[in-house]
Amino acid sequence: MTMRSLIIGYGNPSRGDDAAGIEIALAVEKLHLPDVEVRTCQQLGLELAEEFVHYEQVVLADASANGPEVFLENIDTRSENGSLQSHHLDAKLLARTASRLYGSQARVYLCTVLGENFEFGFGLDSQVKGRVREAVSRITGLLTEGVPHA
Amino acid sequence: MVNVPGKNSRVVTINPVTRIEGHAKITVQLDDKGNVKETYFHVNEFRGFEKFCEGRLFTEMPSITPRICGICPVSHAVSSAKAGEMIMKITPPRAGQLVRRLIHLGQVISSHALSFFHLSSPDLLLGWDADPATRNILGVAAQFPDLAKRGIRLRKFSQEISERITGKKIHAVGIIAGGMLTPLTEDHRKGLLAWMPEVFETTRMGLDLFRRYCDEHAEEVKFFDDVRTLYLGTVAQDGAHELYDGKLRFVDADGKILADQLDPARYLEFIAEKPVEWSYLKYPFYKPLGEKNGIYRVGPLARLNVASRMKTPLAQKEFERFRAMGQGSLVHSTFQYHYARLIEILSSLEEAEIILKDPEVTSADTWSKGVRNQAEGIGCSESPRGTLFHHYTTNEHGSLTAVNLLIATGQNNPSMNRSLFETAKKVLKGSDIQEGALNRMEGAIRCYDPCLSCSTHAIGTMPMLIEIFNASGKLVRVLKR
Repeated sequence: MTMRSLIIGYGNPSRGDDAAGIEIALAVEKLHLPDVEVRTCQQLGLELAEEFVHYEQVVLADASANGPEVFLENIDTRSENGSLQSHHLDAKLLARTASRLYGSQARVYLCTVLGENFEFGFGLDSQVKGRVREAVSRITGLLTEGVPHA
Repeated sequence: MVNVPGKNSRVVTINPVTRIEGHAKITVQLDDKGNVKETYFHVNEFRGFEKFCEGRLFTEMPSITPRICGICPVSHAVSSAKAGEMIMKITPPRAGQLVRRLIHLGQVISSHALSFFHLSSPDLLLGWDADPATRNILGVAAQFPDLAKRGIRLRKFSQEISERITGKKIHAVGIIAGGMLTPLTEDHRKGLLAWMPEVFETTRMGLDLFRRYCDEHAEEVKFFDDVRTLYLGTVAQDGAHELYDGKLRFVDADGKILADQLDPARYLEFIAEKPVEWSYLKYPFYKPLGEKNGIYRVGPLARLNVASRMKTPLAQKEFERFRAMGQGSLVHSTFQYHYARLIEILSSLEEAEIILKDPEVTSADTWSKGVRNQAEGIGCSESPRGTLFHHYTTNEHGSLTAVNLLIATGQNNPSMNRSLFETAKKVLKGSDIQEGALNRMEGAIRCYDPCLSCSTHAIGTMPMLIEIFNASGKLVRVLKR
């Protein structure tokens, strides 16, 4: 039995590989998986936290400027880590807010792909396209089997 | 807590100022006894839109200028579109005006909600001396979860206005010279109306909270200054509070009208700007009274001081309570910017509800076409922070040869510096400087809800750089955290 899932891809589509999170979400949407909803936005905001209560798992997809090429891991909502800016907050803080303020029981995952170019412009670097495909594969495994594909 | 060690300490710096939109720092110069001698509010970021937009087509500007800011992009788009309409000599159809008003009101609600519930309520609810690590919206959420959720949802509602009309919450597209590219659908109209009971209740809670705070912390409120300035805002023909399409009104510190029903296109006859060495923000002033006597304020406090009345009944009641504080004169207390902001949320909700019930709001006729018919265009609207002007000059091809943007926060610059000085004098005594005192100084700036750019800043952690200069102005020590 599949879990009700929400995929949120976020980033600035006019800053090169910063669109990777959005591309991941849109690629998952095209798969038409059961009980999976997809959203895209430019940045995460506190307003999203209350949505989590409607789902059993949430995947937040973004580009990263450093770190592993493809990363998918469960966020520990008990952790005090995270950063808050007046316009947006990071995935960890959003997950924590959803849990503490709204009582969300959803398992929250962060998925990032390493970007190569964040300059003004549209379209992903060719290496990043490959990482996006890998990320989509892992997320699909999570959504269909409950386990992210390695 | 911050200590300024050593008897030669003369300058305290707060960098960055927290819980405002954009980047700024505060410098305080102390005299030999540790009392405040002078303060400076430095805006240390440079945007350059006026220059790099030269050569662009004027019709592109409603898409370009919203990028100035992520909090008030609609105001820039609206003022820009109006400037374009003046160049084309066209007027949008009524439905386009209604939808544009609606999205403009949504932005006022969004911005004011962010300012009060997210940026300022932590000080009111948790205390000015609370731990900076938790003195933020998340700290409020931990102790006052219902209020925090309501504040978040109020902002969500106002972002939804933009999203339902244009498809985007931030940097909406479709506000163009000529009207609105997309109409409001019937489904979206109903969807927005369904929010109304909740958001009115949230605003009522905010008003009650603020009034209770002022009653219970009167001594704290006195840390913030009464600055007697002129005031500028736009008003309707009968003097009513008007955010979208009013005429300019200047009043003096006693409430006497100095100039009224001015066409915003004449703004340069009444407003001049003076550059200062320590900031990228200039010092505007009311020209007829000169630099020294012409300092004026804009924004919610100013708008409620210049208006003769509000257009809607609930807001009118609050307006009467607000003006009663002035005891026959105007309300000069900078702290009451917060109250004025809440009243404007209320009036914006009332006006939005009226628009949503207007049968013409879902008409598909939202856009007039036109071409360049004259060189110059000036568009004006009341952004959340105050009166905003977009002034374009074009060549025969419609390319911009000159751009002047008079931003609301810039017009409050002299007063922000003055408020900072007055508050610093009250809270800084001697060399033992407490963190709460620095927060109160930041709070004086926060009353104005300045928008220094579309940049963000850290909430909760307060990076601080203190540079200590000796009496000769030589840097003798640097403290960082």
